[in-house]
Amino acid sequence: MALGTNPGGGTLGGTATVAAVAGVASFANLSIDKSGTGYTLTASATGPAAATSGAFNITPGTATQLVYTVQPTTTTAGATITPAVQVTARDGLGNTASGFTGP
Amino acid sequence: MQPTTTTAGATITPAVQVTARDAHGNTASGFTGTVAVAIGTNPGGGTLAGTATVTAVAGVANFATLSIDKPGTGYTLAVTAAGLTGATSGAFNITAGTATQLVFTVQPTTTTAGAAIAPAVQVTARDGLGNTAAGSRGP
Repeated sequence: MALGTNPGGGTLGGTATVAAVAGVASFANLSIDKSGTGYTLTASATGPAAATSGAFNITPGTATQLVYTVQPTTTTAGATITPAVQVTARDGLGNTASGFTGP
Repeated sequence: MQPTTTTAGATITPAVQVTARDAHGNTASGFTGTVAVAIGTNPGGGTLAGTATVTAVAGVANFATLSIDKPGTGYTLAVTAAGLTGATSGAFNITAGTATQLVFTVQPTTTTAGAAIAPAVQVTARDGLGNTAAGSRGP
């Protein structure tokens, strides 16, 4: 089992090679680390033609950290700091936690 | 000649052969009627393909092109001919063919990054007729 379409630049985790039992292979612990829309998986084996799964999405996890994505810059006293300082909420894997609406 | 265990979709070989007999068990060599074969017991929900109606020659009917498309254990064939008592074959099996394709039988679902995709993704090896290729142990 491998990633087919990889819209988020993710990596497939878990046990990606299993032995089929009575013709059926079950992949119980697959995961993907990067959020994205329209991932597919590709299954292959020696002999039969490969198959591609339907598309599915990986969504970001819960926000666990804040990261300065635009750092404050040296500025004259009383002037607006430009460019605007920007902070991004990220999940534990570094994905932007798009569901985070804080504060 | 009784039908033998055969791969799904493959011709049952040797040819199934039916003999017309008289009341004493002798081959009724003068019989040249039409003999039809059909699935009797159908454990796999299969369909019989091939030439299932033939004309007997000297009391013997040969079915050289029979096949069944679905695996199952304990199929039988039943033969009939007008004016004769029918017969049922011994049981035989149809097995799945070689795996020719993989099919996602449980598709991956939208999941949180880093979390296990649940339910478990499942892939099934199938033969050219869509039967689960139970002998396949891949990868």
